[in-house]
Order: sequence, then C-alpha cells, then structure tokens
Amino acid sequence: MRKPSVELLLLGFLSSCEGSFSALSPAGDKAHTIANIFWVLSSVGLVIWLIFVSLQFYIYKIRRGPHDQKKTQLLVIGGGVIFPLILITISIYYTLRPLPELVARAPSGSLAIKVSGLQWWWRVNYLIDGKEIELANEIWLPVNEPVQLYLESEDVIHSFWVPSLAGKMDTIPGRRTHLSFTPTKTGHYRGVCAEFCGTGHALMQMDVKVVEKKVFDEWLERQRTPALSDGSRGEKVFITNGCIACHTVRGISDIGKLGPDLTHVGSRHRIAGGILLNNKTSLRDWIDHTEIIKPEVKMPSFKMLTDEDKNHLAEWLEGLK
Amino acid sequence: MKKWVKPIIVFLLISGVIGGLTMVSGIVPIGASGGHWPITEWILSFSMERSIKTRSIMLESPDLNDPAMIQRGAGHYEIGCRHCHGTIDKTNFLGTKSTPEAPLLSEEIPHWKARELFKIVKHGVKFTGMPAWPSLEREDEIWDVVAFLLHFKKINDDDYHDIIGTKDIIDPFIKKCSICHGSDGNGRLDGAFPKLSGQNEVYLESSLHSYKKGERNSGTMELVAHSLEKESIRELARYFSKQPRTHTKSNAPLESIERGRKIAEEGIKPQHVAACISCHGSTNPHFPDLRGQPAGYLRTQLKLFMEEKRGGSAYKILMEKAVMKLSPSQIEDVSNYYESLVFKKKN
Repeated sequence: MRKPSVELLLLGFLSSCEGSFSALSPAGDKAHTIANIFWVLSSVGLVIWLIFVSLQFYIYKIRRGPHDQKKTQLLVIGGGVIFPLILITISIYYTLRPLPELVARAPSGSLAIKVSGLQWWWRVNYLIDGKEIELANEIWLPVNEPVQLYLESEDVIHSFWVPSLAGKMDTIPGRRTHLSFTPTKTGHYRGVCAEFCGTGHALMQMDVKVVEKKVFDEWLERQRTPALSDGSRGEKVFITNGCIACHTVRGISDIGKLGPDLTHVGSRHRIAGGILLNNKTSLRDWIDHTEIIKPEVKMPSFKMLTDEDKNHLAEWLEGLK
Repeated sequence: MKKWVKPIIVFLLISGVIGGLTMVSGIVPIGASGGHWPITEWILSFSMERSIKTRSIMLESPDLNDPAMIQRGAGHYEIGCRHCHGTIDKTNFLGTKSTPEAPLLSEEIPHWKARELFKIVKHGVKFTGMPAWPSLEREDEIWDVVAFLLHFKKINDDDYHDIIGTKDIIDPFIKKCSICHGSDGNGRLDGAFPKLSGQNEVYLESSLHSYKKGERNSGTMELVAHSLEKESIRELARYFSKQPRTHTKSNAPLESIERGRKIAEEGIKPQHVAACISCHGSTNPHFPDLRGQPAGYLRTQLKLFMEEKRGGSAYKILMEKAVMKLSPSQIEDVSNYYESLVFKKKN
C-alpha cells in the first residue's frame, strides 16, 4: 500500500484555512490587506527558498569540485549581502506602508461600538445617537460600512481578534484602544480573545455577523427594544433568585450591571461567552453546571433551584428573542 | 561493654512480654471512677501545661473587653461548658466524676493567659474529657468564650444567671434558644446576637438544618442544632419568625449609613460587588431579611463569607461570589446601613 502522500497531509492543514475563524479567508478591508501581505511575503520567501535549494543541489550534485574564486566571491557578496539588503528594505517598506491605513480611525459619523473585555466574555455597547445599547458576546455589522470599535477592559489585558475582519488589538485596563475596519462580505464570523487572560481564556469567544444594512437596522431596532414582562414562572424565577443582581433584562430589571445584559439573550447564536450553541439544553446546563463548563467563572451555578424552576428559567431566557 | 548488652536485651524482652500480657489480659481498670495515680496525674498535667504554653506563643489576643463578646461567650458556656466546669457557687457536678476531674473554672482561669485559654478551647485536650471546638473555622466564637472566661472570675452565681437570663423562662422548648436570642428572638444584649424575630421561616428552618448537617459553621449553633429533630426545627422556625422584630437605634455616623445604602442599592461595579437588594429585597424566603440586624453580626457574616468560612444553605455560593472584594470599611458601611433600617413585616 502506498504511504499517505505529503499532498494529502497538506490538504488537511489547508482545510482549516477556510471558515469563520480564518485570517486567510478575509471578509474585511483590513483583513484583506493583512492577508495580501501574508501571501506576498510567503511567495517571495518560497521563491528564495527554491533558489537556495537549487544552488545547493547544483554544487553538491551537478558541479562538484573547486569553483572559480572570483565568481564565487561575487555570488557571496551579491547573494549574501546586497540582495538580502535590498529585499529586506523592500519588504519593510512593503509591510510598513499600509500601517497608517491599518490604524486609521473610521470617518466620523461611522457606526461606533464600545467593546470591553472581561474575564471571560465581551461587553458590547452600541453608541447610537449619544445613547448606549448594551449587548454581549455578539456583534452585528452592516456590510460595506466602516465601523469604529473602542476597545476597553474591565479587569486584565485581553485582545480583540476577529481574524476574518481585521487584525488583533489589545484591550487594556484604564486605557482605550481603537480598531476600525469595513466588512466587505456578508457572513457569520467568529472572534476570540487573543491574549492569555486567565483560566477561562480559551472559553472567551464571540460571534460577528455581517449583514445587509436593512437587516442590520431591523436587528438593532429589535435589540434596542426592552423585553416585555409576561408574568411567567421563568421570569419570576429570574427575579426572585438573585439573577438580577448581575444581569439586566431591560423592561424587567436594571439593577444588575456586572454580568452580560440578557434582554435579548434568546436571539444570540451562542451563550456563555460565545462557547455554547444557544438552545434550551445549553441554557439549562449553564444554569446548572456553570463552574464545570467554565472553571473559575464569576457566575455561581444555580444548582439549588428545583429542576422545574431551572427548566422554566431556561425556557424564558430562550424566549427573549 | 559487650557483656552488658545481653542482659539488657533479655530484660527488655521480658518487660515487653509482661506488659503485653497485662494489657491483653484486661486486668487493668480503665474506669474514670478510680482516678489517676499521683505520678500519672502529674505527668499528664505537666506535659499538657507545657504543650499549651509553648504552642500558643505565636497567638495574639484581640481586645476581649467587648460586652457583646462576653455575652456570646456566656451563651456558649451555658450550653456547652457548664455541665462539667460549673459556676462559682455551684460545683462542677459532672466534671468531678471524670478522670482527670474537669477543673472548676473559678480556680483554674487565673493560671492561664488569654491565648492559652484560646488554644485549650479550640483544640481540646487529649486524655481528658475536654472536646475540641466543633467548628474550627470559627475562631471569632472561640475568642468570645475566652472573653467570657476572663470575665468569669469576677462574677458570682447571681451575676451568671443575670448574664444567662433564663431564670424566668419556663417554656423548655425555647429555653435553650433564649439564652442568646431572648425569648422573643430579639437578642439578649443589643447587638450581640442576630435577631430571629420576624425572620423568614424558610430561612430559619434551612439555617438550622445547615447547622445540623455541619454545612454552616458555628461551634455554638452546630451544638444546639445537632440535638434538634426535624419537627422541632420547623416549630422553632415558625415560632421565631412570628415574633415582632424590635428596632434598636443605630449609633453609626450618617455618612457611613449613606455610603452603605449606595452599596446595598447599586453594588460596586469595579469591585464586582452586586447590589444587596437584588436578593435581600426580594420575596424569596431563602434570603434572610437583614433590616434591623445588628451591624456587628452582619460584619462577622460578611467577613466569614469573604473567607469562605461561613457555610450555609445551597444558596451560600451566591454570597461568596457577591462579596469577594469588599474592603473592611465597605463592610462596615453596608452593615451599618442594614442595622439602621426599620423592619416592617412583609405582606
């Protein structure tokens, strides 16, 4: 039997370059620039590598024995000093040239969003007409419109990274950093924290959805609307068991400022800092086994609630669309 | 030299065999009625004294003159210690029947420093009837008892009954609780004990169960709750929850109360402290009603929560997560605030 070929192995690696987590399938202007730099530098590197390997092949296999000293000296100085000097200078120029564009702010009047990193989730505030609409772990953006992100941290250093849309940017306590880009392709992208921030670092993710402007406006309008009290048992469980100490559900209670806003938690793709697909079972598991799913999380698990109460609560949360 | 080795080995072997046979045969009396030989008595008490003195050197005693500490210590003494150690006028009846005899405290206390008493009360004493403190997490309670013990030598039997205060309580059902909490559940001395009066019945019941199971830590309350049956727990919870809660005017400065109000109503976001009212203002009967509770009691509980030493019902984890980062002065403020609130019965 034939051994698995190298090509097949490479194919396995390349398959992970596609998809919602990849910097190599760019869907934003800045990500494009970065991907281009990657491809150009890699190609140049590949060419140089090929030349170098060919030269080695030539001297070891084709023309063994002593070479003409003058020619060799020329090659060593030319290929070993002058050529790299020129090439590196060009590369530095090539990679630094787009920097001003990469760090430029979005034009004023662009959509502005404040994103704060916390152990281990993202607080998202849309700044609309001087007002803040607080959401969590999920960002929607209109396609082909620039967006300005203000990045902050409420505890330690995190780093905001949605590989398909832009480069990463640290969020630093006591300081505001900036990131702006224009998404160019509708789709569903994933983001992560890219700076080690404690036990739950790997469990700190987010969803970013790029949609048509009209869909975005409808979505934002829905997110802006407070939830309606329906007097259900789930709602009562939420209010009377201390959930409101940390979580706000606009229209029901706004005491809680510590944890994620849950006004429309049912509309999100994922819960628990972007790690569990959002459905009743996940919600129920999260309420029950919070600290098992995400060790050292700030939220206590609510094991003490009756099974019935937990079900009602999960059902009510899922219904907050 | 060599000729001595053999007889010594033979001697040791023979003594070992005789000793072993004596033990196995069971002819040695082990009864407490017999007492010790003077030599045994001396060896035991001498080594005990040395051990206590050496092992307590590093301890530092807090201020022990607080009347609330003395009052709490007295409560525990009445429930846990008096049977063996007696009071000044009355002898230690049960204590005289053990070997070694439980010392009469009035004679014994002057020999010891506060930190040494702490060591004895906390860990008990081997080869005697002195047990260790039921809940080693609660060193604050042990210092209460030490405060009382140091006070004890100055009072007579009448004083003792004044401080215990159960002379007029005939109902045996609530007598034990009344020693500390008063017959109406409002606490015997202002500020020394939590008010049980008007407290949520469900909370009182689950607290007693937690004490009984050792899930809430207290050397005194675990001792009391351990002997209570399920039925009595329910009835006691019902009885005290029905008593009217009295209000004691707070002496705390108004600014402190105001700061406490802000913490209670809004929490402290940068410190990740949640607003107290989200649970303690809710209708859930598992959450205790804190209005009018003595600030001293609240302070102790908050500190215990922060050190994860309080324990409690299954809901305790909410508090452990909610107060992780309160500073001492914030604890003071929020305790003062709840003490200042006037209790009104919920509908």
